[in-house]
Amino acid sequence: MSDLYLTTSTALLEGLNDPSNREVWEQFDRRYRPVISAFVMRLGVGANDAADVAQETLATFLTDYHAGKYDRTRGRLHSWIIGIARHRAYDFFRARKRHQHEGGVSAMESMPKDDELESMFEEECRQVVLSEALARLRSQTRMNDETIKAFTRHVIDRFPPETVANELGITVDAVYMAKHRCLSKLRALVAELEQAYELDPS
Amino acid sequence: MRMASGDSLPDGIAEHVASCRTCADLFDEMQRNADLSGELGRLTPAARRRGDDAISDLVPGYKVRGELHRGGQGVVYEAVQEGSNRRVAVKMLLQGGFATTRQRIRFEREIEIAANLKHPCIVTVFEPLSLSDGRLGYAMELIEGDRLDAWAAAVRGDVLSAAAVRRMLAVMSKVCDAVSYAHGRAIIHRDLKPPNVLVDGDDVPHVLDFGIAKATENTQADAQSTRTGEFLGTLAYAAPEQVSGEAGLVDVRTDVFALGLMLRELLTGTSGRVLAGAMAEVIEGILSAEPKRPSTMARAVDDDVDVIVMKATARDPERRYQTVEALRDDIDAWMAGRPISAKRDSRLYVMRKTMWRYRVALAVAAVIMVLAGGFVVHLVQSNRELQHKTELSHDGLLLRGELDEIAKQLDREFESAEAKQQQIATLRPRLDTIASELEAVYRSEPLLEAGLQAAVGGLYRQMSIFEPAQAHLERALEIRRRELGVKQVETWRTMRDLAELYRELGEIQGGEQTEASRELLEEALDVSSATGGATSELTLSIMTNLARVYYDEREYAESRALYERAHEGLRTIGAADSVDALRCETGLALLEHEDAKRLRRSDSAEDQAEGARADAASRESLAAALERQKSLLGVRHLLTQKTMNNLALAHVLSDPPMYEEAERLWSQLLEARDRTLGRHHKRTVTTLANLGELYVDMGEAAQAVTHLPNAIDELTRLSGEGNLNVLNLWARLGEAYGMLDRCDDAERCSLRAVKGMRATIKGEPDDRQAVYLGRFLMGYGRVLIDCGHGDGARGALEEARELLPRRLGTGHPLVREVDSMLANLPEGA
Repeated sequence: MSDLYLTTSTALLEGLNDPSNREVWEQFDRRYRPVISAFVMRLGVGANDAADVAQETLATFLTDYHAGKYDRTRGRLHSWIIGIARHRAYDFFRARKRHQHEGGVSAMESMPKDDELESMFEEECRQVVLSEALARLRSQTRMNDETIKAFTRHVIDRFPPETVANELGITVDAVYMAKHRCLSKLRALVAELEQAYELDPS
Repeated sequence: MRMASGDSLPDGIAEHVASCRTCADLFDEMQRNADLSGELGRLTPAARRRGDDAISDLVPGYKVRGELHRGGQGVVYEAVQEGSNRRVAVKMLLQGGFATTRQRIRFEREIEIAANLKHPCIVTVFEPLSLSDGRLGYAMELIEGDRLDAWAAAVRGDVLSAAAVRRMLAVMSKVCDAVSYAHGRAIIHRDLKPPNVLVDGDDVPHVLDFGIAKATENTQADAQSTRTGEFLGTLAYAAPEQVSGEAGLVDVRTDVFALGLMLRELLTGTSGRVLAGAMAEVIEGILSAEPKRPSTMARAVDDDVDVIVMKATARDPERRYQTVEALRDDIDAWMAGRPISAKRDSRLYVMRKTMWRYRVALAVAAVIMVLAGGFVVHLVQSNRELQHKTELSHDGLLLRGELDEIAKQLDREFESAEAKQQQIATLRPRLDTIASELEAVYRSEPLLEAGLQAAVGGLYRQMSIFEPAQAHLERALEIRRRELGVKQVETWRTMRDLAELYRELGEIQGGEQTEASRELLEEALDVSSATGGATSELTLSIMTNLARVYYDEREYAESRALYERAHEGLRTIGAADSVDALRCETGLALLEHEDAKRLRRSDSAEDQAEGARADAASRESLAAALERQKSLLGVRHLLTQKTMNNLALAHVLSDPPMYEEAERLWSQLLEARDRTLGRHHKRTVTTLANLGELYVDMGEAAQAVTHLPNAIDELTRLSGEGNLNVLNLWARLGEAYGMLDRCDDAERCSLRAVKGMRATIKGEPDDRQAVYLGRFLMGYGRVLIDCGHGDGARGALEEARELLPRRLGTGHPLVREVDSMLANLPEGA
């Protein structure tokens, strides 16, 4: 009965064992595609190409996974995805170098170290989690519109509370209340999502 | 509260925070919020905007304008369809972008079904929508109007006037019309409530969310944040059977109940349900409250409207209007000043205080049942035990759903008996799995377990798998006796079902089981008529079953008394066409027939003449009962089939025998049983044998020899070749061949009966065996004479002459016939 999205990555991985289980694969895809895209962009892949590299990364991941190449005892899921993404990005740079004789080399040579890669990846996960939590706050909770608007203008768009209060015709206290309530709710949403990504709570 | 991230605390405050737990926690929470806030401010622009109010671009093909309503299930926007410029309402479900493929497909299917409902009082659904962020929704007709409750409050004003009552009933009639229209298309709303009906400026109601209740089922993540108020909003209009734990399927009468409750609320301003307090109390309140007549709260409400509301909201679905149409008809009758149909019944039972006492535990365990059609709610309960109960009952609900599913698949009509067996073979493993877990999993929730055990036992019984059926029903009864005592309706129901199973087993195995059935039914009848009233439908059903047992045990006077009481009672409560009523009719006709038989056996000529008249009359009663069964139940029903057989037998036994009537009935019956039970079923084989024998009696030898060999094969397979009935059929087949002058076949078959009979007799034959052997010898002798082997016949006939009178006496027609055959034997033979 649990929302599939909130199943942990471990459970998702088990679901992937069944090649016909499209749903699990869709979940996995939805969860990691944006992270991988953003991650390879940080490695120097352009926005337009990042989608292709993410696609190749996921395809490789699935093939390898079905071939039994992933051994959970030997490392975290994230490290494994990072490894694949790095290779695919590397392939991309090499191909570009062949075609254009430019650009690729420096990016390749400047590839960050493993632990840096790892923290970049986690940061991207965090970005996705936060934006997903925001989306959920807006679409799934019963917080009223004004509260959310006040929160958005003040916290996200960084307007001073007084400005927001004026704009919305509410008191400054109400803006702070909105901020407090939305943040508390968001924290719960973030915690839930982080668990799904198996991130360490920060 | 105003404390931005990074601000350091003033000294005095810092000291206090260091020593005050509450403040430390509060400060900690604020600190975390501040951290998160900082992080959010650094999000990329794209990440910031996800799910923001850019909804106008999210719905392909529509321009979304403003928000109309935000509720438990989703947000409704006003929108304009591009191209057509039609104004529509767009409802987006609060489900995030994470609907799985399966959820989406199911949702779209439900929307398509809903889109097929075209009724002026049903909000037309146009199409399912899938937003680019993955959320689901649908476009529907835009209605400008008020929610029914708001509308009614305005109409009601301070004091309800007669004109207002009339306006409300007019609106409810239209709502009923819409709901009834949907029922005609097999769509039950399941979540009818005032907020789901909009009334426009012309007093035309528009029902929302038809057929979508299931599609909008929330995921658990959503459910966790479902506010209690919304949960109760759904509970407020739930029918008792949705909450009682005994609920099987939600059916059209569930909607009847909700409509009745809505009408009550329109008139009085309250549904009469108390929805404040702890969950358990609320539920108990709902279940045990005896609703007041609306007129006690609103003087403008007259007696007839009272009756309509009371009947629609009767606790027992059987006592409600059986269809929404019937409810509407009564509303319309009232509007037109005609008498209402419910009036007569109501005096008898609607107003009666029949208390169905549900226990809180049962109700709490079952509370989730309410949500079968709506949400799955994760109740936030501080009480851990209750939480555990809730989880268990949630599982129980799922199980229940699966059992219902199995029942549905068993209940449908099958092409053939083989097809049914095949279905049973497929379903049985599922049932076995469920059955094996029940006791272990639900031990801590006995009442929940009992309900599931009873359902499982019932399904096994339906599959004719008797052993587990008995085990599970016995377990259910044991728990209910212990937990509820014998004074509860659930206990009686299980008693009845188990007794019925014992009776079926008794038919197969005889003896003890029948006795057990009788004891259980007698107990059930005692307590149910003492506690629940002698005219509750369940009591009457138990009465009918017990009458049947008495009949089987030849206690005719007791049987008749019960059948008559049950029949009368069923008629009184408006159940004259129920299966139980039909069973009473058959039972009474059979008792008439028994009386006739007794009279006909009498020595007095007067009695005999009376017996003949009674016999004809009883056959007419049976025929009348049969006609009603055929039209009300169809020939596939077991009761109809049994009655056909009984009537055919009565025709054969009448004087003179009505062979043609019997032939017609048995032929029909054979066809029906062949289809429903299969040709190998014992009952089908019995009918085949009866028909074969009948043809011999009618002198239709050609027909007999086509039927009897089949019957012999099947019956031998079922009962072994030494079985008396099998041997009897050999003898009859020999007779038939004799008529056709097929002497070799005739001699072979007749001799087979004789030899078979000798083989089964160990030592000296008992009276019954003597009669059979005598008859077989007679038949063999006759064949020998007819075939010109009269010389061999004398030995057989003389032995028959010696055997037959032992039980029949010398005056019996058979004995006299042997005598005459012996006298006519050719000289020297």
